[in-house]
Amino acid sequence: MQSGPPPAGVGSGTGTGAWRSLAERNGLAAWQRGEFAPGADMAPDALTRRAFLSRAAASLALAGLSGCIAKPAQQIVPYVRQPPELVPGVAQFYASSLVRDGYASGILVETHEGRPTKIEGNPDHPASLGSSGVLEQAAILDLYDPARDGSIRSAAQPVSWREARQALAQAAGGDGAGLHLLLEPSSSPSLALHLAEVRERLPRAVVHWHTTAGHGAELDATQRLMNQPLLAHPDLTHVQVGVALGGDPLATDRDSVRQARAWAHSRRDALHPSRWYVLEASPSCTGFSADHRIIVDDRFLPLVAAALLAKLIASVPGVPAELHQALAHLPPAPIPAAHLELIADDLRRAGPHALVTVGAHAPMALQALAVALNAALGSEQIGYRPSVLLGGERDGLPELVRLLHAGAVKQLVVVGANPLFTSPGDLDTAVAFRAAGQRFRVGLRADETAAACDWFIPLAHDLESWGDARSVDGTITWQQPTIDPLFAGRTLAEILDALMARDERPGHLLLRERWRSRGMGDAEYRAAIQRGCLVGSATPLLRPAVDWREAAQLVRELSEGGTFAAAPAATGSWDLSLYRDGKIHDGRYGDNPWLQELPDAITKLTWDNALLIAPALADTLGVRTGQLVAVDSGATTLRVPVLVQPGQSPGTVSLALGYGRRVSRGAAHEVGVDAYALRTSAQPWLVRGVRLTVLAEHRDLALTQEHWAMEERPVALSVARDQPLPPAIADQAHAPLSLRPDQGPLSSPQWGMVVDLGSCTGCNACVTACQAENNIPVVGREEVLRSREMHWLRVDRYYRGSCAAPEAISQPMMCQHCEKAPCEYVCPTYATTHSPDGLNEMTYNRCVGTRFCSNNCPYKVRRFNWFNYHQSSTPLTRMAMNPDVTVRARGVMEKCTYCVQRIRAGDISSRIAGQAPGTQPVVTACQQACPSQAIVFGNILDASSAVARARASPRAYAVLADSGAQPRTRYLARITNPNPAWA
Amino acid sequence: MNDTELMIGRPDDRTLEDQLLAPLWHGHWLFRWPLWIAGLGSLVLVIALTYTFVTGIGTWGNDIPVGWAFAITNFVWWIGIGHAGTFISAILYITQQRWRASINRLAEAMTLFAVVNAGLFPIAHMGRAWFFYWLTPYPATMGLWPQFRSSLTWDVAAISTYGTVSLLFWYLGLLPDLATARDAAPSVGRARIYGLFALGWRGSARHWRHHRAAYTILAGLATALVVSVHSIVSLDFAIAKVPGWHSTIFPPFFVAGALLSGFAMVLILVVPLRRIMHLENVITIAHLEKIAAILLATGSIVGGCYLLEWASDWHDPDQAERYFGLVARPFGPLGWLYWAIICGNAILPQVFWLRRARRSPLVLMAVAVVVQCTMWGERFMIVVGSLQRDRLPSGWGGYEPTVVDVVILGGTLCLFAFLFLLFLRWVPAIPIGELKRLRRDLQGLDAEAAAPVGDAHAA
Repeated sequence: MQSGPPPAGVGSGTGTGAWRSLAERNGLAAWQRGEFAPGADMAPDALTRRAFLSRAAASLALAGLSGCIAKPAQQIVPYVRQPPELVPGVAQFYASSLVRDGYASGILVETHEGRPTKIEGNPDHPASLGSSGVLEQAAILDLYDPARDGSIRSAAQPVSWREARQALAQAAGGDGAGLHLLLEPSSSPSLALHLAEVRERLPRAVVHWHTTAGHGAELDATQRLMNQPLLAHPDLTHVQVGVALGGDPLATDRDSVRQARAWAHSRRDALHPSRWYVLEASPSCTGFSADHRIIVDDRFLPLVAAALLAKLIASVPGVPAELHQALAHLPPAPIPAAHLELIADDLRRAGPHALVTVGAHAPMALQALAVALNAALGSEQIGYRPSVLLGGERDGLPELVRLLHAGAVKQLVVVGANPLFTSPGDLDTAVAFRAAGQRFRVGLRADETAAACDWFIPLAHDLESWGDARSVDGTITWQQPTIDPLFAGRTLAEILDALMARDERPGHLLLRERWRSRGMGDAEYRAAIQRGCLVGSATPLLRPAVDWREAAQLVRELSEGGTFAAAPAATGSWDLSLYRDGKIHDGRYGDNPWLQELPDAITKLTWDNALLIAPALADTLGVRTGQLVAVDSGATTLRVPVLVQPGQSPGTVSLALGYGRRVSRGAAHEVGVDAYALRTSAQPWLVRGVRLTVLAEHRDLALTQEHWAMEERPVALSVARDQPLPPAIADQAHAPLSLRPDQGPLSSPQWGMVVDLGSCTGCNACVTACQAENNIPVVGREEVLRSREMHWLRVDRYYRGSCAAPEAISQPMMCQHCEKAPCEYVCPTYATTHSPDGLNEMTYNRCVGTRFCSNNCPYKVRRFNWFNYHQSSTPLTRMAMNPDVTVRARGVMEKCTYCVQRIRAGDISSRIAGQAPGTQPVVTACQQACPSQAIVFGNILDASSAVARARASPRAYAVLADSGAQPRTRYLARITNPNPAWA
Repeated sequence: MNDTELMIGRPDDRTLEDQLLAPLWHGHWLFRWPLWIAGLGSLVLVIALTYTFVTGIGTWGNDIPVGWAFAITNFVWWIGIGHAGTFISAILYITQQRWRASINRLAEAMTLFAVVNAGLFPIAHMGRAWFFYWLTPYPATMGLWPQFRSSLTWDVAAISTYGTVSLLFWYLGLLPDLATARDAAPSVGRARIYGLFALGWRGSARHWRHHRAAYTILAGLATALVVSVHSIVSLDFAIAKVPGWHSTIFPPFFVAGALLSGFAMVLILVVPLRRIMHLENVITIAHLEKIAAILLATGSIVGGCYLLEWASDWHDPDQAERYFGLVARPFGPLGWLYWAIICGNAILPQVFWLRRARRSPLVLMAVAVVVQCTMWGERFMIVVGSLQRDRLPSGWGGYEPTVVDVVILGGTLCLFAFLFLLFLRWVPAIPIGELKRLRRDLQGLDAEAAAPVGDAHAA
C-alpha cells in the first residue's frame, strides 16, 4: 500500500468533478504496472468512460447509440427509472447483493462515473427495507482493497488465465476422480444448477463446504422435534414478551438488519410495547437493549430453558406426562426463582405474542428447548423454513481433512473462505493440505490458504460479479456488477466452467440463461434485476407441530448426559466463549481498515481483540485492562490482553475470533490474537475449563471511550415506562440566559435531526455509513491510542448501576448543529459559521487549525487532521471516495455536516422540479443506514415532517441543554418497559 | 525601606561607565561556551518547529479533547513572564521607585525575549500556520476580516501591541546609554555602530526633556499593557464554556500570576548574574528584597484567587463546573499537579515574610525556580486539565506529551538564554545614565541623613 508517489498530474486534474480515467493520463502506464500486481492490467481499461458507457443501461442501446459500443453490451439495469441520458456528477443506483455465510443482503450500489462509491439498503428487499448494517456499509472498501491480489500464479510465477484454465481442466481429469472442491456456503439457485452440471460431467468430484458457523445444531433440534430439518425464523415485529437466551439478533446474528427494524417497531407500539428479557454471559447490543438483562453463563442456558419449559407446559394441553416427569427433576436454575416465575408468567400471559429466541450458535439442547418453548406458548411470532443453502449447514472441513490424510485428495480447489486460518485449532489443516497433490486457491487475497497452495487465482468480489443468492427468508436476490473486475477476479462459475473444460461464457449471459431455463422471460428477468429481488419468492413459513414424546425423550437424554448440570465450574477454571464480533466476523473483514478502526459496539475497542472479563474476576485475578493473561484450554495456550467489561459474567471469559492473522498484506496483519487456536471441532463456541495465568506484560488497548458514567449530567436519558419523565426534560423549557442574540424569523427549510434512544441498538451501522459517505480517513492504531480517531459520528455507551450488572444505553453523538454554537464565536477566521437553513457550516479552506472550536465544543464532536491522513492513498483507494465530499487537508477541522452534500443535491433537485428549496426529501447517510430507523432528519418547520413530529414528542430533549448551545439535534429519551413486579 | 542601600558605594560617573561597559569591551566567559550551547539549543528549536510545520501538529501530544497543550501553556507562560519587565519599567517608573534603576533594562529585555518566545506559539500551533496572516485585519481579496468575537483575534492585537510598545520603550530607554557606549568605545568601528543606534544623542537638555516626555508617555501606555495583555490572554480561556475556564476571575488572576512568574524570572536572571558579572554593588540585596516582597504579594493574590475559585465553584449551579473545580482538578489525573501548584505558588512565597529569607540569594533563587516551574504547571493544569474533563463525559480523554513537545519547550528556554546572552554581550545591560542619576540622588539622601533638613526638635 505504501507505494511511491504517482506522477505529477494524477488526481489533480481538471477539477470538474467528473471521473478522470487513469488511462487518460500520460506517463501513468509504467507506474501503474508497479502499482497493480501483474495480471491486473484490466484496471485501467475498466475505468475509462468509454468502457463504462459500453456497459451502461440498456436504454443507451435502445436509443440507437450502438455505434458507440465497442463490445457486446453487458446490460446492468439501473434501479431507478431515469431518463436515458446519464448525467456525470449525478449518482446512478443499481440493485445488487452481498453474500455472507451463504445469505444475500439486498443492497443498492451508488455509482459515480462508472464506479461504486457507496452501498445503501434496497428499500424493496424484505431483508433490508432500505437499511444496511455495518458489514454492508464497509464492503466498498473491500472492493478497493490494495491488499487484494490480482495476479494468477503457479508456484509463485505469474501465468495467464488460459494456462490456469488448462491446469484446472487437467486437474479435473476425465471424471473428476480425486478432485475435491472446498466452497463457502451458498444459496445461489444458479450455482445449484451449475453444480448439477458438474456432478453430471465430473461424477467423481466431491464438493465440500466450509463454514465457521453453520446450522447443524438447529437442524438437529428441529429434525428431532418436528421430524424435518428446519431453521427458525422469528419475527420480532409484534412480539409483546420476548426472551432471548443468548445470541444477538439485533446486531450480529443473521438477518440482524430486519430483526432490528422489527424490534424497534415493537418498542414503539403504543398499546403493547414489547418487553424483552435477555439472558447472556457476555454483553451484546441485544442484551443492553433489553428491559431485563440477566447474567447467566452459556452452559446454564439449557437448564434455564428447561426450567421455563417446566413452568409453561403446565397449561398446555396434549403434553405427555413423560415430559412433565423429565423436567421435574432438574436442579434449580442459577437465577432467582422469583425472576424465573415472573418471566414464565409474562410469557404465558403473552401467549401467541410471546417469543423465545436463542443464538444461532446455541447448542442443540438449547435450540430444541427453544422450539419446545415456542410451541408450548403457541407463539405466532416464529415460523420455520427448510434451509435454503446448497451446502454448508455443517462444516465440511473435518471430513476434507480426513480425506486429505487418507490420501484421497489429488486435486484440491479452494474457492473463497480462508480455511487455513479459520479451521479449529485441533484440526491440523495445514499439515493435511500438504497431502493434496495439487492445490488451487481462488481468493480475494494472498492469505494463509494461498500461502499453502500452489496455484492462486484471484476471486471476483461480490460487487464485480453476476450472480444470485437467497436472503435468509429465501427471497431470491440478484447480484449485478457495478464495475469490471479490478483485479482480474474470476467468479466461481468461471472456475467451475474451467474445471469442466467448457468454453468461457460471459457471466451475464450465463445468469440469464439459467433463469431462462427456469421459465423466466426476458422482461420479467430485467424487472427482477432492476429491483434486485424477486418479491414474493420467500420460501413458505411452516409451523409444524412438536412431537412432545420426542421432546420428553430428548430431555431425558440430555439430563442423563449432564447437560443440565448446575455445578459451578471448578475453582481456577472458566468457560471461554468464542464469538464472531460485528466487525471482523470470522476474520474475512480483517483487512478492512474501516472495520478494524470501528470501535466495537460493546467495548469500544479498535485494532485488537481482547479477553473480556468481569470486574469481579479482574479483582480476583488482580488484573487491569491491557494486562496480558495466558489462556490455557488444555490443548493450547494463548497470550491475550484483558479488557474489564462491566456486565460480563464472572464465570465466563470471551474472545473474538478472526484476529491475529499472520499472512496478510493489509490491515489485518498481526492485529490481535488468533482465537481459532483455542477453538476445537468439539467445542467451537464454548470451551469449558480454561485456566488463566496472569502475566506481567501489558498491551495498550486502543479504546475510543474511556469514561462511561454520565456524572449526573442529562446526557442519555432513559426512564421506565411507569415513571415520570426525567426533570431534565422539563427543565429545558427555559433556555439559559445568553449574551448572544436569538435568531430572527427563520425561513424554510430549517434542517434538524432527532435520534430515538429507545430504538438505537448501538450496532454502529450509522458510524460506518458516515465514514463511507464523507471520506473519513482511517488513522491507525497508534493514532487511536492518542485519541485522534476521525469518526464524525460516534456511538457513546454509558453504564448505570452496578459495575457487575449495569444498565447501558447507546447514544449516537455527532455535531449537534447548535443554534448558538459555541464553536462559531471562537473561530478567529470565520471558518465555522451558521447557514441560513440551520446548519453549522465548516469551511475547510478557511480553517487555519487553531482548534479553539474543538475546545469550546461541549460535545467534542469536532475532529482535526493532525497529519495528512490521506498521504498513503492510492488511485485505487481513492476510487472508494465520494466525489461529492471534499477530502480534507492536513491542519483542518472537520465534523458532521448533516450530509450537506445531500441537502444541496436536494435543493438542486427541488429547483429543477420548480419547487421551493427543501421540498425534496433529504436522507442523511446515518439515517439511511440505521436498521432500526432511530434517526430522523428533515425540515423542522414543516409540521407534517417526521422530524417535526419527533421534536414535539414529550420525550424529546437536547443533550447538555443547560450549556445554552441550543442544539438542533434532539434526542428522544429511551422508555424501558420493565416488569413492574421485578425486584 | 531605606533607599540608601540601593547602591553599594557611590562610584563616580567614570567608574560606573567602566564597570558597566566592561562586558561590551572586554567580553566575558558567559559569551563563550554558554552562548554556543544556547545557540545550539535555539537551532534545535528551529528544527523542531520546522518538523512540526512540515509534518503536522500530530507530532505533538495534542488530541481530541485536548486540542491545546504544551504550545498554549508555553505561550501563556512566556507572555506572563514578560509582564514583570513591563511592570518594572513602566509602573515602577510612574510610581517613582528608585530600585528600578539598575534592573529595568534587564527586565525589559527579558520581556522582549519572552514575547519573542511566546509569539512563536500562536503561529506554530496552527494546523495551517502558513495562513497565520488571516488572523490580521489586512485588505484580503477574500473580502473577509478576522472574526472579531474570538479572543484569538484579540490576542493578535494584544501581543503585537505589547511587542511593539516594549521594543520602543526599551529602545528609548537605551538611547542615552548607546550614546555613552559610542563615546566610550575603544575602536572607531564600534563607535560607529553604537553611534548609528544612538541616533545622534548628544545628551543636551533638550534631548533629555523630549526623552523624559516620550518615556513617560510610553510608560503610561505600557502600564495599561501590564494589565491588558494578560487579561486578553486569559480571555483565550474565559470566553470559552469549558468548565474551569469560564470564570470572570481569570483576568486579574492571570495578571497576578504573570507578575509572580515574571518576577521569579527576574530573580532567576538577576541573582546569578550579579554574582557572575560582579554587579553586586548596583544590584544589591535591597533590590532582591524588594523583588521578594513583590513575589510575596503576588503569590498571596494568586493564593487568594485559588480560594475564590473554590468558593465560586462550591455554589456554582453548573454541575460541570462544580465537578471540575471540586473533584476533577484536585483529585483527577492532574490532581498531584494541583496540590504542587498551591504549594509552589501560594504557600512557598510566604517564606518571604522572613527578612532573612528575603535577603538570602540562595533562598531567593530556590523559591524563584520552584515558582517558575509551578507557574508553568498551573498554566498546563488550566489548559489541559479543563479540556480533559469537559461537559460530556464520553469526550473525556487523556494527554501525553511527545518528545517534540518537550524539545520545543527546552528550545524556547535556550532561545531565551541565547538572546539574553547576546543582549548582555552587545548592549549596556545596566542603565548607566540612570545609575548616575541614582548615585546623585543617593548622595543627596546621604547628606540629608547626616544633616536633616529643618530642626527636628521644634519646641
